[in-house]
Amino acid sequence: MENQNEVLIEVRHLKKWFPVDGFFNKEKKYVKAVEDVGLKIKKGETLGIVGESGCGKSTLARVITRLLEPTEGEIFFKGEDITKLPPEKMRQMRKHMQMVFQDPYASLNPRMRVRDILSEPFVIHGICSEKEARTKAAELLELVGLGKESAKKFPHEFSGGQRQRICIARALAVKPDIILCDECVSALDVSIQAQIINLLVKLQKDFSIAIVFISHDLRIVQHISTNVAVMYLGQVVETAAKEELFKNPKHPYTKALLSAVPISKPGMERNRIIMHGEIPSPINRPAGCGFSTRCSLADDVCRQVYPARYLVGKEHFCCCYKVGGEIVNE
Amino acid sequence: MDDTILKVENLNVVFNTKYGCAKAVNQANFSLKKGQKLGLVGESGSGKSVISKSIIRLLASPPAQISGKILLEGQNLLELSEKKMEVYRGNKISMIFQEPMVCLNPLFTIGNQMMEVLIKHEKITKKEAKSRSIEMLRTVEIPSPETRMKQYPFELSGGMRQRIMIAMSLLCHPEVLIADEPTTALDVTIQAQIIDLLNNLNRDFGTSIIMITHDLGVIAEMVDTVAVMYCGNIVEKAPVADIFDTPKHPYTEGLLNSIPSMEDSGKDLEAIEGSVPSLYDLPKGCPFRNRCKYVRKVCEYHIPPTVDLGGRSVSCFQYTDQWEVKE
Repeated sequence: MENQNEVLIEVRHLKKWFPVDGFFNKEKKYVKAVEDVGLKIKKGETLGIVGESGCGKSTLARVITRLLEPTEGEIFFKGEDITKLPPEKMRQMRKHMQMVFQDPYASLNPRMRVRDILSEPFVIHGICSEKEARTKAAELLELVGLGKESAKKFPHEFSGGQRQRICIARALAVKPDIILCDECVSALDVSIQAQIINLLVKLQKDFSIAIVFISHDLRIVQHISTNVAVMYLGQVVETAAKEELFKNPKHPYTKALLSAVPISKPGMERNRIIMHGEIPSPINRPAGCGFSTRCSLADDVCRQVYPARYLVGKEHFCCCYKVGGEIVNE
Repeated sequence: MDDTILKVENLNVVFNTKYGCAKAVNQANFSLKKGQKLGLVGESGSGKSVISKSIIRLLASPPAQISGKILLEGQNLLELSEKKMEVYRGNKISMIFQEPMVCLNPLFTIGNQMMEVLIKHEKITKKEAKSRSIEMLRTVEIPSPETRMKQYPFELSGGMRQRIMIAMSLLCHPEVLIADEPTTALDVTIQAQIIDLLNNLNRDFGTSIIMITHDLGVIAEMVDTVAVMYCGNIVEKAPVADIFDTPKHPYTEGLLNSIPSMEDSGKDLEAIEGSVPSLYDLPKGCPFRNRCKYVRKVCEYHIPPTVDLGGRSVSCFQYTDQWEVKE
């Protein structure tokens, strides 16, 4: 497959700042949810985005699909800059990029029957008539492992896992090039999680869709991804192929994060790096490196200078001057 | 058997609601030794929290109907009057909850809430209460405890609040600490900190801990003995290493196979098919039989008995004589 290396989405210097309006303070402050993010997503790959809560994973996904407007930076979809597209054009563009959200209870309209939920995308994007859409909806249900009889039901008649299947079916309806899954299994029980992950892996193989898989659960990200990006305080601190990242993490935060994952067997030996303190607030970011307040390697340079992006291995980028490497400017 | 501190015998909890009768806990039996760490695992709705709340008698009854025995140092907690129970709660047995924000009163300072515990339970002056609270905050590794005493819960982060909750629950040196999903709302790095803290407290004070969680990783890191719950039944009980190495119950096996492991990835996960049945509408016989890959005819009629396998027990017909009977 020669198109395997084709870049589907490229993000450059993306920023999203939310203004915080203080009642009394004159000085305008911002929550810097996404700070200068650069990413490439290739066709058919699975990019896992990991990070703790509040690090900007979800905001990033929403900015990429322009459900939130970026403050600065560019987003290219198949080489086309979509940052400035007018709303109507953007709506058509979303045919190619779909999202699956965390809470399957909140993301399905409780007043619509499943068949209506699933045929809506066809009608909105003018793909086919409503009648054809109904048959296609039934096919979609089959695809995600729900019976035909589900079509008549309302969302409340399903369990969490089944609802998430409906959400996935809805995302698949328009044959997108990419699906962004924002913590799509976090609300589910372990045994159901495994079902949904298997479904996603299978669908991705069958339709060669790219998946952006956002999760705080490193075990799942490791299972599903081909590439992984680690976020901290709005910044992507490290990106690499999965094997490389999990075997050979470079950034001190990635190392600590990996060591914090609960082991899967009791009595296993490991060196746990316990990080002290907590994530600083994205309103008052530290001046230099965002991680400098918790990092054991940090020195004065870290605290004052914003780290550049270094190339530390094959397609392995890391934002830490202590680790070093060749500076990349993209 | 003298060092058994808490013993739960034939505990049943039934909720009578307008939708029907839900058996949240069915014939639960387990005991906790001094200094032991027991883990209760199961998916949502399996009855883990109901057990913990019945032990500390925080379950409103009615609607809950609790029967059986909960023996703390020989005293049946279910027979105590509410006034007497108040003496036990905090002094002998205490609990930390999943959401530390909901459990702290937003209108009072941390210091105020901590000192209240001591003043209520012990004859102690305010000054002593204050110094002991600060001491305890230091034990749970909270930086600059004097300042924290004057702060309100909203000024602290989630991990910090959970530490405060732990400090509060340990103030009167209880013998049993029930931790109901204490790390679920927290990030992995903070979770690691809290697990470390609980392990240290168990080592230093000899506090017995009942750890309730759905995360088998947390179980592997923390506890000595595990009880696996499914639909209100304790289906398997064993030392932690045995659970992970040789799971006996099909549900435990399925649960272990559903977690992606950090060691071998890329393979398909072995998910458990189907979903958890509703408590109002449990299948007859074994509650797991609709999802079990080994299911046989015997499973349809009776709830499987608890079989003792020497140091561990399991509730499954596979380990009884009835299994081999011709179908």
